[in-house]
Amino acid sequence: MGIEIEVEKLSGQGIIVGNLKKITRWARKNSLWPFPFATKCCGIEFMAVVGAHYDLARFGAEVVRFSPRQADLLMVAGTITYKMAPVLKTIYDQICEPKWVIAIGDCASSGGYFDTYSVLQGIDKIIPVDVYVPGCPPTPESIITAVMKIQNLIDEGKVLRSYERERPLPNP
Amino acid sequence: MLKESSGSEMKEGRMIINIGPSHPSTHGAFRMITEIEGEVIVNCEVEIGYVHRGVEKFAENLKYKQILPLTDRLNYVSAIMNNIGYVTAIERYMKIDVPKKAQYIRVILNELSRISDHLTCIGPNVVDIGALTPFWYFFRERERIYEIIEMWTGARLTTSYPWVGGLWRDHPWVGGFKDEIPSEFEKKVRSFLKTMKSAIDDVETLLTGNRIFIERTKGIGVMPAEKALEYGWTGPCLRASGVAWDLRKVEPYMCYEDFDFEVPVGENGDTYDRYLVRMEEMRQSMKIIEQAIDGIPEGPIMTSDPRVSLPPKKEVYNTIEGLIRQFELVMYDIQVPEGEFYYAVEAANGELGFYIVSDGTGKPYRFRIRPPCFAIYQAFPYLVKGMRIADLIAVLGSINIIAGELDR
Amino acid sequence: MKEKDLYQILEESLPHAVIEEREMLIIKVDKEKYLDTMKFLKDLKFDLFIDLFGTHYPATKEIEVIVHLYSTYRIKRIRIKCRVPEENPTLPSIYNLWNGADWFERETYDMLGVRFEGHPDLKRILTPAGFEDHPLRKEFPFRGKIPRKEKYHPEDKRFVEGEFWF
Repeated sequence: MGIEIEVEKLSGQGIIVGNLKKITRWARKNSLWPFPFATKCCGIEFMAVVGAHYDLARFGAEVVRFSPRQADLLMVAGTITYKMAPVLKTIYDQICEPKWVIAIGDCASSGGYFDTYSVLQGIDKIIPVDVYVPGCPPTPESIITAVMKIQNLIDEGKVLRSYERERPLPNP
Repeated sequence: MLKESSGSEMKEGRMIINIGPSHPSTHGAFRMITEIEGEVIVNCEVEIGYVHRGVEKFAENLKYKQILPLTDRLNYVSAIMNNIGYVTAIERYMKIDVPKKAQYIRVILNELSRISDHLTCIGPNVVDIGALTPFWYFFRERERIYEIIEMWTGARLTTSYPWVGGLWRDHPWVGGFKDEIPSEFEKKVRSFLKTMKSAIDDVETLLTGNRIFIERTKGIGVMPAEKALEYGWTGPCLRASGVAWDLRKVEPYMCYEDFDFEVPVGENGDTYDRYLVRMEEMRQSMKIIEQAIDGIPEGPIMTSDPRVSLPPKKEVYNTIEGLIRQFELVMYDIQVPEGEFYYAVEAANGELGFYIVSDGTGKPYRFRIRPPCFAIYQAFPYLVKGMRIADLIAVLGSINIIAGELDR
Repeated sequence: MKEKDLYQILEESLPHAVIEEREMLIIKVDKEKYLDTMKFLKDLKFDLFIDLFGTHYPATKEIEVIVHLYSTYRIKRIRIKCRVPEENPTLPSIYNLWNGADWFERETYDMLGVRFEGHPDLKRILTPAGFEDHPLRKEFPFRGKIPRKEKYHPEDKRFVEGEFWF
């Protein structure tokens, strides 16, 4: 886990001395509070992850908060349409720093199976994403892997935000 | 409706509360705008369309086999029922005979999906009312259903498994059904039936006679029978209002007439009756599964009708007709003859119907899905008038809205 | 027995309509007689309202509105078809006969542009507010009219990799 601690014995009292950054990062990564933004089938797989068989509580992410002001991990699961996109952006803006975003499933990563007039092709067009989870729907083990990757990111002290930007098309 | 009342004539003491698209107790993405006076609801307006993907428009560009994965993302908690609705519609139109073994296995998977849907309805519904324990019991059973479905079809949630004429392929490693040593599939289904029975019994002792639960759900959200028929309600919600109407008994399809089961009918049409009807339907589904797994006949698993099924490999390599048939079916997909048809099945929520206009090419001209939740949800403002916000949450959970089916 | 009676009843009382029977009874009416036919069917005890939707046929420049009903007394399905011209399509609303036609008519207005007179609150239901087209018409492209990039290039992704101090 990587915390270097020195226990100093001072006549029976125990004092732990360590690096402030490492201790706060250890505390932060083992008590993530996720905010599930589930619109479709990937939401059902998310419910299975929080259930008793594939337990997300053993990673510390047991408290599932439904208010964005109280959460720090936004998990977007399901198709986002043009009607829903302003709602998602408002919720993302309301979460306080530091925050991480997981895009669960094909529809959230890139529009997925639906290439139609009302579906936003990927949420990274409006909010920056840290981890993408492919699958339609992804197995619960993949979702747990994504949470573990977020924990590794917190350990290194990074945020990894990826946008999609408009690049000018090459000359025909 | 709300605009007129809220614009210039807003009375004193009234407030507009928005139960928005992202809310812990809305199972799906839809929005309710309620006008309340104190805590009593005076008016309510519903806004949907947050998950509208344009499935009907999209399906006009796809071949019939490519539409199958679209259908199982409609009602995603019971995906196999949507697939079976689509596939039986095409089979009934083209008058294709499906072998008995395939029909029995389809019935088993169908009823397992129905149980899974009712578990997902009751579990979160009682969580919103305040009872947390049944949720854990039910979701443990759902994991067992997922294991059985995954063993047979390969996927947990979105299966796309049945096809016109039968099922895709047999599973020899699962074992024969008439051997002395029962196969893995049969063992799992029988052990599931035992654990499911004890789970339903446990939850019934917790909830059915519970005074708090009865007070919170009796007399809430009453829908009289004539109004329910006018609104287009079908399924367990209609049966809870007192109308004995089930498409498995009225228009039997997929050899449901071979099985012996009952259809529970409620009396008052309130939330308590809807809960009781769903619990009893789960017991009847278990009865059907037991009869089906006891009597699976021998036989092929896919029809040999030349319009839809691939020929055996010996014919493909040795005769010219087999080669041509294989080529045409793989390259051009099945050709549904010209015309229009509408057939419906009894999904977990009501009548799921498919209306297809075919113009002779490999793609449909018009593909229409009749969603059961759409007709049920439009009566919501009528149901909640005069009740409190806590009752609104209880009613919302009991009518089982799945946003994917509502918006398509 | 009962089926013959129903077919005969319909043939005698609706002389202007074309009646046939395939997997269910199908009635074709004109726009003027649409509301009278619906009132007559409601008196014949077709009480379960199933469906209402439309199809666009650009070849004959018409939109066809289809209604499905079910009778729990006779256990019979019926389909009513009515064609309206493509430009400025209007039809009387059957909201007062069956309350369930409410959202189905709104969806037909949203997807195809058919206006229903007498409907209490006809506005868009599935597409976002401010959407101006009618998606199910045949000339509307299924990818939509918002321009999109054709291909994806690895340079399109931009990473903002940063450190946070706490």
